[in-house]
Amino acid sequence: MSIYIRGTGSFQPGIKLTNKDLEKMVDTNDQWIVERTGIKSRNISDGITTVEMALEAGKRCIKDAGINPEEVDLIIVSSVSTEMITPTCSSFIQHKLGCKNAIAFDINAACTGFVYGVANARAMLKTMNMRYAIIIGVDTLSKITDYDDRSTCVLFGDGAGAVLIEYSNEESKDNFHAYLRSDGSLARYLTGVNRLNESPFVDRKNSVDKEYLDEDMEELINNSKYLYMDGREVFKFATKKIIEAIKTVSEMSNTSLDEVKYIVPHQANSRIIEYSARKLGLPMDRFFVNIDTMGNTSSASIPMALDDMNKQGLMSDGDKLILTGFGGGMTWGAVFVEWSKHK
Amino acid sequence: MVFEKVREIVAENLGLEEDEITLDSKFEDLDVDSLDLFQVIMEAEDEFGVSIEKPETMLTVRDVVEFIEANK
Repeated sequence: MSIYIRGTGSFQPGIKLTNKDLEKMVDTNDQWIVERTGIKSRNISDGITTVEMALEAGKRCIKDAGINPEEVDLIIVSSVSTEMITPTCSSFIQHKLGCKNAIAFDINAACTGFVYGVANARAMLKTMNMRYAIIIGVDTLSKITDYDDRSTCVLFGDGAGAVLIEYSNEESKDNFHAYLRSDGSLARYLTGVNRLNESPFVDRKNSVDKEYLDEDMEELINNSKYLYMDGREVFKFATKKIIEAIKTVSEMSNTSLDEVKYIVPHQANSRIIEYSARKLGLPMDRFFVNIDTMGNTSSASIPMALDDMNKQGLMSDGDKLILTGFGGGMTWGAVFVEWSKHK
Repeated sequence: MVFEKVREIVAENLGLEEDEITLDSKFEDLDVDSLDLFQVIMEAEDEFGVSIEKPETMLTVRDVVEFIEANK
């Protein structure tokens, strides 16, 4: 039993927003943003929907993998920003890509969603005896970003990334390991609100029925008209958790970090990655970083990074990768996976 | 004791030699930005089990050492 990455695709929307552009919108400057985040520019939706971005990434991924859409067995989309509650983004993609035999559903584990998606896909391929899965991470964070808040608006970008994995029971090789964690007690560090209950049966003045509202949840909702982040606590959380996740999945796979070609972290902030690399005693060139032109694209950052690596020709068949994410929930995790575009 | 450990944390996080750091070293003079300082504070908190609510009020190595000695 083994699992391989067979193809990748990504999509960046039309508006390139540079640090210079942001200087005109809020009190900030290019040097400050680059030094503290590593970001030089990010692309923002010009109106293209989350679903359409995901579709484009999925299309490119299937083309890259060179398979027939009808061979796809499973589509999982991870996002916090799809347009519709139903149909899901994945249902739309299943139809538009012509993957008529695929099971399709969405998940949400914030910025860790892609890693959760890959682990879910592998488990389902294995237990349901299926072969191909597409996992798409997509987010349009510009929809929920406050462009008057200089501490968050410089960070986020929009985009989509897709990865096709193949599960095969031909070989007796155990080459996939996943470590996923959640801690809801830390939820307040990173929040965003969904549509509230405004039915005629609810006191509209309050928008949510205070009588039934848990105090903690009330605080989260009040904080979250836009994406809210406690930068300091998230930095602390992220550095601790990705170090824990990378070490754990490396131990689970009996593979030393020296044997891993690249660690592909969620691209939230280059300083988080640099700090974690130093604590792990690894040089920065073992981490793939493309946040400079992407910004933090939430669920999309890891598959977009994988597609970037693929296009740059950085990977060869048999290369081992650790993908690691962290984000709202709070959630975190890592998967150990093998790259093999050709059999 | 506290100073030696804080000095070690500062040196490691800021890429400095320990003998470059004294009690009177100002973080500003060590070419430290707010995230560097936060990394130092984060590790000092873990090391000594204290909670430094306002890292921005820590201007010198002495400020950190005295806060830890008073609160640990």
